[in-house]
Amino acid sequence: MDDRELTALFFERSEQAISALEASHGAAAKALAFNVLGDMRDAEECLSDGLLAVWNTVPPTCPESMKAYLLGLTRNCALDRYHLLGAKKRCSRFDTAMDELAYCIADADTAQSVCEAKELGAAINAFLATLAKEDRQLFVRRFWFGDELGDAAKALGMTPQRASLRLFRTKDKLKRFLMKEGML
Amino acid sequence: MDKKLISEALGCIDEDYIIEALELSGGAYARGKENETMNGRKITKPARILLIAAALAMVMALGVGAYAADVFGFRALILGDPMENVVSLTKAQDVPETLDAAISEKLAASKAAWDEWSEYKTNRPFNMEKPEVYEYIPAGTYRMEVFENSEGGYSASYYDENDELIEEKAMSAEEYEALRAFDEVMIGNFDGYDFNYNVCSEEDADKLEEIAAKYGLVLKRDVNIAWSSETTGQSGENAYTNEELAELTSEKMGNSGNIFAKVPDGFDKAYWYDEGSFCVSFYVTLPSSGEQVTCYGYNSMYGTLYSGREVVAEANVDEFASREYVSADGTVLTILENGSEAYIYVFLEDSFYVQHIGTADMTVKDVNYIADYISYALIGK
Repeated sequence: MDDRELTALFFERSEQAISALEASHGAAAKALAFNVLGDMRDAEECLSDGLLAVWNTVPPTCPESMKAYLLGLTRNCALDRYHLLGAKKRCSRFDTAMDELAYCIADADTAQSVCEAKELGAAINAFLATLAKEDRQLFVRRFWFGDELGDAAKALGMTPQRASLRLFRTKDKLKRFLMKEGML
Repeated sequence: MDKKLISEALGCIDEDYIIEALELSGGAYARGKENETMNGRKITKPARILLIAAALAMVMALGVGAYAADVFGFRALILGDPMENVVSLTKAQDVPETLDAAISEKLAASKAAWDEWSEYKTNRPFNMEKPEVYEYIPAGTYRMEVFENSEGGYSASYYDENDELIEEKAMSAEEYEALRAFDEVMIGNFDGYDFNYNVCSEEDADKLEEIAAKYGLVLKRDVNIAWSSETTGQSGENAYTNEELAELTSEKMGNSGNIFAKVPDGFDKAYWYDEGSFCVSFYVTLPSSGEQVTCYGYNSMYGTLYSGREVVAEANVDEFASREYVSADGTVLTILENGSEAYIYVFLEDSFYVQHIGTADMTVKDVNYIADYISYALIGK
């Protein structure tokens, strides 16, 4: 079932909408939530929350990609839970990825954040636009999806060593970009 | 700059970049395309001899005592075509011939019953109207929350994607009840049936009961959940200390004693059903590194209707070595491990117990140490 058909089911308020969306993209959303939380039951619950959130927002929203939309909502549910659970629970792939990124773009001379998430998000968006497509895909797979480096490398058809080097350069560029923008 | 800020900021990136990243193959994001590169080039699976070499190398890395002799290995867990790398934690997928044929028969009945139920659900018309309260959604709404206000009425709050309140709207008790009933239907746990069955109406419930009776199966209903007050900080009716929670496995979950030979460091949660299925999700510190891992154990009754997809995990099967281990209580377990994750499973008299452990660098001794946390002989009524 393609995105247009899926969206139509939601607009018709068809009961099949949720099960069809789950059948089409549920595994991907669950895998993403698992990356964030490292717990399968929690991932299941986040997927349920994500599916319900799609139901509650489509319509009026008409997403360009149902898959990306479901993944975004499921990721937010997973992040909410991730932050609620506290440090003791944090042992997921996502946590490792966030540690890696936080270490790379740590504030130069202060532990205090000088910007808000929205501002930083806008800056990261602007930064991503400057990257080559392959580097951008690698960055998003590693830090948005929480993929392990090996998996992200495999998806791009490159060795983990090569992916690691490219990611290192991208993180370094990001740090310089954020410094230039006055965010670090 | 902390991780919370960074993770939230990443949530603001353009959807186009997410779509672009989804173009890539790999993992569950591109199900069915796992073996293709972005250029469409097939990655040839390594020859059998290389697999054996890799398995031997893994055995060497894992240490003495591990071996790749158990050919059954993942067959008990893998969902199969088209999900060759997806593991079920809620239903045995295959049974060794040496086991009682009655177990295979029950699992086959469960599969046939699930197929029949799925076919019914696929063709079932939706006949519940959306409550009026759902007809009103302010523009920009990302999520809605409903709560009981101080006057005993209800309020709906609408938030945008930044969690800023857009609007608050009063709701009558009738509207709230309609909303609750609708959500119950949409979530699919009508009348207390486990939400995985997706029972949405009386008609669904009758059909599910009819199918279960036809195949001699029982159904999961009314899940009970308990939390660790020490781990989660929760208090109240369903919160217990770690020791009390371990004890609950005897009193509440239909086992013939406390299944925990040792009290874990903490619990994520435990939940159980009256028919004997249960889950224990707990934390153990690895002796070799001091690192804490999550252990997710699930006991599924052979005679209960399961799809096998209630709780799943991805596993690159070729990376795992398989071995047998005799636990401290004398139960012969199958262990699958790759040095950072492990699965333990055992076919018991009335149920299948499987446990996932991960993710951290783990030695064979670590995995054995965790395996000995459970008294498998006590599982089951």
